[in-house]
Amino acid sequence: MEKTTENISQSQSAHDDTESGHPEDNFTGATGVLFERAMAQTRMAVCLTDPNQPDNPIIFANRAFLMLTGYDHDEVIGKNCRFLQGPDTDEDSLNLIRKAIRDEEVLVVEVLNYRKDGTKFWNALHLGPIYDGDTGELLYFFGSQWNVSDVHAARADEHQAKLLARELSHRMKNMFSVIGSIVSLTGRQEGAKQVTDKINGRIRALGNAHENALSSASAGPADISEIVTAVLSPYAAGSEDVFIMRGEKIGLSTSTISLVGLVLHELATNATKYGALSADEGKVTLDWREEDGHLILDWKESGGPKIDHVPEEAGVGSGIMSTLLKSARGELGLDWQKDGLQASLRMPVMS
Amino acid sequence: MMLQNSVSETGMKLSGFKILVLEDDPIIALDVEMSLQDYGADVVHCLSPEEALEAMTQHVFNCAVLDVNLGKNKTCADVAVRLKENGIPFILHSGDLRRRGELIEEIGAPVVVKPSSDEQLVNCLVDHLIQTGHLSA
Repeated sequence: MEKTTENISQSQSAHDDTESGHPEDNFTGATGVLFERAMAQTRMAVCLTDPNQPDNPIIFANRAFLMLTGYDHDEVIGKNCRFLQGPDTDEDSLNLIRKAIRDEEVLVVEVLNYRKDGTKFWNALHLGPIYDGDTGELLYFFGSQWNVSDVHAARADEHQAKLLARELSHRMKNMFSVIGSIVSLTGRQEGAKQVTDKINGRIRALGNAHENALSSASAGPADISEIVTAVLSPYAAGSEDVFIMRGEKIGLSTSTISLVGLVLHELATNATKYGALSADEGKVTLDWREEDGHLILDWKESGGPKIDHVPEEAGVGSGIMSTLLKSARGELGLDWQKDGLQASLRMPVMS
Repeated sequence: MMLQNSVSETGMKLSGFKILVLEDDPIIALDVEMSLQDYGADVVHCLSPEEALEAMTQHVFNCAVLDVNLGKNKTCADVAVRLKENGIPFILHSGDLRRRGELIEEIGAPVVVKPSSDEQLVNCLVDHLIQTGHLSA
């Protein structure tokens, strides 16, 4: 109802601008000339139909309408708008249009239309009733057409890109699974299952770290919180409050993602064996921030077994991890507090 | 090929269990099979839902591990239904949570996300067997 009222007032003001209140005089007089020029020059395709004639024919169509549809003036006047439809026009949108005309409602709908030469275009159709300002009698329907084919194409591309990203993500996971199985089977064959289990842990951490970046179809850098969550969720063992995460949004490049993923995996593996994650009540608090182009990530364990010496077997901060970090100009500080390990990762956020 | 079965620290939790493994990738299947054997299980591997349904007429399974996507638009759905009818507990092993989320939810069984470690898979299965009363803790 509100929309109908809006139209009454619109048509009223159009009438007030003209010298007489009669609809047939709308395009006459000084204002009428201006109105006609505006109609002729606008790039917005406009037509008016007369619902009081049989089959609601077009009684006015501007130049943009003829340009858009490819028809001549004489070919459209007196015809119902349905000549714009074609075999692929969606029945649902047509039903919406029919209903709007029947109920005298304003409607904005995207409908697939056809030009005279048979080519298709997506039409953002805006239609509605025009009433006589004095009597409230239904005089016309207006229809404005806007070619939104490019918008449609962009939307379809985005949809395709999402589907493709999901497919790629699935295939990547599958590849990671097969790689993991081959590594594991090789370990059995060579009597080195423990070594290959370790390799697989790292491969899985890499896969998880990159999973979101690959499946989100967004071109920009991946946010650190997604990466932290993806890498650590396998260690949360079903309970959500094992990890307490606090940090701002920081975009990470591909190579940074790999290293952050690996470091978190090593810390979590260590915590599962000797630290907070080996106890039921254990928790890990993660804080991160960006400082001078560096990512600072603090890892603090609590609730685990008391630590009275540095675990000999601890893989964190030793061997390949520290070498890797050094090559990325980063560092991992380890502080074996009695209440639990406190680690601090610092590395450049490479763009 | 001689493959070494590593003796697990946690013992033969699945000793005496006959397990159906439905997995269309033979490499992953062999890995899963050997992981379950590490824990004492007797494993029958099937590559397709048809094979699995056939195997269910020939063996009495205690539980199952089902891959969800089985290639060429095939899924484990029919096998899951049959297992439920027969009261056989099972878990899902899938890397396709995004595309197959609805189906997985519909089946309503624990999920181990691929890629997974031997331990993750076995722990999930053992936990599920304990929860459903098919194995004592």
